[in-house]
This record gives sequence, C-alpha cells and structure tokens, in this order.
Amino acid sequence: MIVFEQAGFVYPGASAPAVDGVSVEVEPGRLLALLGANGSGKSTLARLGNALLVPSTGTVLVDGMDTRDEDAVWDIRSRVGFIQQNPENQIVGTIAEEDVAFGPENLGVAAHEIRIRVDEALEAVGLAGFQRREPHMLSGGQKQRLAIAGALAMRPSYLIADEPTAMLDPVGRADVLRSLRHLRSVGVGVMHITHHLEDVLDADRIIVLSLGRTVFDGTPAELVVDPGRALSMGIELPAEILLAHELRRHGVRLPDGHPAPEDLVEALWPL
Amino acid sequence: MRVPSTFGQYVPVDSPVHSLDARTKIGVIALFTLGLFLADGFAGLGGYAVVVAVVLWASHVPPRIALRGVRALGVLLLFTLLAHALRWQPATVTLLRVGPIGVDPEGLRTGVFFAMRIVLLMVGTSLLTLTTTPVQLTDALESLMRPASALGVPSGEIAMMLTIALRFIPTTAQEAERVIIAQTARGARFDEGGLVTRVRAYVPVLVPLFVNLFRRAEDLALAMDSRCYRGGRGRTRLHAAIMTPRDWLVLLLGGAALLAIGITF
Repeated sequence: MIVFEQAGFVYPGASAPAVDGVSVEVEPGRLLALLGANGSGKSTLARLGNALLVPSTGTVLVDGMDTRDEDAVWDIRSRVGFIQQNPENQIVGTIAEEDVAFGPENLGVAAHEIRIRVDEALEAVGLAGFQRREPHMLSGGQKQRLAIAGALAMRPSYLIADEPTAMLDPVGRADVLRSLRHLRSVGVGVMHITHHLEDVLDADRIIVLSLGRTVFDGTPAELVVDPGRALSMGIELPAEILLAHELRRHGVRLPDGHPAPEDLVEALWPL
Repeated sequence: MRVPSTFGQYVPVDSPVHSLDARTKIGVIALFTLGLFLADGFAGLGGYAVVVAVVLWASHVPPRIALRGVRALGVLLLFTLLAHALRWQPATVTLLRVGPIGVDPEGLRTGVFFAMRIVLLMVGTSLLTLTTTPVQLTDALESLMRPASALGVPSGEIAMMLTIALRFIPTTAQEAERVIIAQTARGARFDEGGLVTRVRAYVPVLVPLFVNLFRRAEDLALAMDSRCYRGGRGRTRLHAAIMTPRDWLVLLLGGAALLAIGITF
C-alpha cells in the first residue's frame, strides 16, 4: 500500500505549498482517481508517490518504506511505476522492446528474464508483435501503452499515471484506459490522475484536490449526486449524468445510480 | 521533411555480414584501413578492390547504395586526380598539353592511385554503417570503451547519451517540420531572399524547437529516474552482444589477411 499521511510539499521559493496535508492510500487491485484543476497539486502528489519528490511535511510510505529513506529509493521506484502525460518524452529506447527492457536492465535483471518480462508486458498492453517497432512509427495511444509496458516490466505493485490520456485521441484514450483497468484486475494498485471524470467513473475511490488540499474524498456515485457541488470544485460531470439529473428533476423515472449512455437510451426509448 | 523508417544508412536485410558482431566489423575495418595505407602499388589496391567487392556481394547491400557516398566525394576525387596529374609549364615529357598546362603521366598514375584509395576507403568503411544498426554501434562503442572506465571514463553513460540522441532524431525532425508548418501558416517565408535572409528565417524555428527539447529532456529525466536508471553500474542488457567463434575467426584471419595484402604489395 502507498500511504500518504498528511503529506505536504512546498517548491523551493514558492510561498504556498503545492500539496497541503493530503491523506490517501493507493491499495493493490484498486483504482484511486485524483481529480482537480490545473495547479491543484495533482502532479506534485503523483511525484511524491514514487520518491521523485519527498514530502516537506507529513510522510509517504510505500509498503512501509519511507520515501525519505535514501537507501530505499530504488526499491520504492521499482515497486511504483510512473507514467506521464506526454507519451513521446518518456520513451528511452530506439525500438519498442529496448524501451520496455530499460527498467529491468537498470534493475540488473538477467537477459533471459528480461526477454520474458518484455514480451509479457507488451502482451499485457495489447502491443504483442510490436517488439521491433520504432517509437516514431507508433500512434500516441500506442506510445502511451508502450510507456505503461515499460513500467510493467519492472513488475510494480503500483502504477501512478499522471494524466495519461490528456494528449490522446478518443481511440488511444480508450486503449490506455483499458490497459489501466487490466492492471487493476491483475492486482496492481492504480492511481489515475485526470481532468476527465468520465475516464474514472468506475474508480474505487475519487479524491478531488483544490489548491493542494483535499476537497472531496469518496466514491464516484457520491461525487455525481450533486452537479452543483462538483462544478464548484471544477469538475464538469459527463453529459449523460447531467441529462439524467435534469430528467429526474422534471419527474422522469430513471434507474438509480449514474447511468451509462447506453442505460440512458434503454430507459428513455419506451417513453 | 520525410522521416525514414530506419534512421541512418542501415540496410535492413539478413546476411552473413549483418550477423557479425559490430566489434568484429570495427576491428576488421581498422585493419583494412591500416593495410590500405600501407599498400603502395596497384596490385595491393586491386587486392583490396576484390575483397571489398566480395564482402559487398555477401552483405546483400545493393551496390548502388554502397556507391552512393562515392558520388558525394566526386569533387574531392576530381581534385585529387587533377592536382597530381596536371603540371604548370611541365619540364618533363607530357601526355597532353593545353597551353601552359600539361598532363604528366607519372602524376596521372599517382592521382589515379590516390583516387582509387579514397573510393576503396569510402566503400569499405561504409559497409560498417550499412550492415550495423546505430544501436549495435553504440553498444559496440560502449564495450570497446569499457577498459577506459577504469580510468574514470563514463563509458556506459556516453553510450546511453548516444542512444538517446539517436532515439530523438526522428522526434526532433518531426517537431521541426511541425514548427516550420506553423510558422509558414503565420506568414513566415523560408524560400526567398539571399543566404543570410534564409538562414535568419530559421531563427523562429530553432527557438521553439530548443525550448521544446529542454522540456522533453526534463520529462525524460523523470521517466528515467522512475525506471531506476542510476548510471551504467549494475546494468544488464536485453541484447548482450556476444563474440561468437565465427566473430573471432573473421576478426583474426580476415584482419591478418587484410593487413598482409597491405604489407606485401
């Protein structure tokens, strides 16, 4: 488990903390979504999670190891995969399999074991057969899945994804979301940072940050109950949920919960 | 700007030359170069020409591609030939005279000799880059530099820098194209004016390109940190290059034969 305990971080020279007393846990096999406007501290929190930054106040523990402990840094990073917004900028290798091998190579894994891990990781993100493909011959979504495979090859217990879909087209976005869901299903704890609530409606837990502080901590269902409150936190609800709210307000009977577009169609056409 | 699917000169086919270890090829080519400069007769050059032709045939590289570099050297070749062959008011017997300029047979012989040597050097050494991927080359370089690590030379880090540079060449080329299109859309002209004007037109392209490269470098550093990169120490490799008995055989016998040609003729 990654445990953020009252974690805070102040950038050198900044007057206000970027993250201020946030407490949250990333648990194996669960999806934690982190929402918030630009400058809300999402990316800073992400970097606190794998010791790219160490907290100024509070603590961050990864499987019990304090990220402040310099001897534990490499152990922590091998357990916590990290992917960023721009897929292009995190690819090191000149061909796909070399990039996926980069992490295990750094960990000193033996060559035949690296081979197995690389093929498994590419398979897991749906890029089997792309071993010898050059990065610039891949689409944005494929590059981002390659980055996920690069993290997976280190056999991490957790994956922190910092706005992984922000630069992708709808197809690439759906593919990346599918890969992240697959990771959750095989027991990896995923922390997904995003601007789009519709990316994480199936999250196990959502926290919303504003100016470095937690302003919401609960389930997606709890967040969409009150569109006004969500909007005040800078979260725009997906159109189908807003529509459902309006319809209910005008007396249309709909099934409980927040319907997917297909459910909404199903409920509306008999009217 | 079209970005080729394979960067560099590499010709992606399977051949006995391609499958040799890059270090073997570097070693053999070093001895070939040495021998080529030791040879002082046409017999020696003829011998090397046969060797280069045979290796070229075995490598399945189209001769047209292998000779591409020679055309680029045309001016240098012509200059070499003329500088040796032409005499101003020649005192010796000349082959041909035009006014005060004459062609000296001995000079012509030397000119042809030097020109041939340049062509052989060019084609012979280009066989390395034609049959070896940039990554294999950087790996070979790292391995050859390893003894220098004892003296504090960061060979692993240098190889990593080269690999990353190779990795980002196509990315940077694509980005340059995007910036050029963006600037063109806003009225920039890259195709008019004199040399100075044209060079100056590229300043608004280079500035955003560099700014973006720095941003990329920052992201890349984070990505490498996250994936536990901590320098060359303790790193293993997916494709560890291994010198096979065949590599040693080619290196020792081939290298010795090439050197022998140069010494003998």
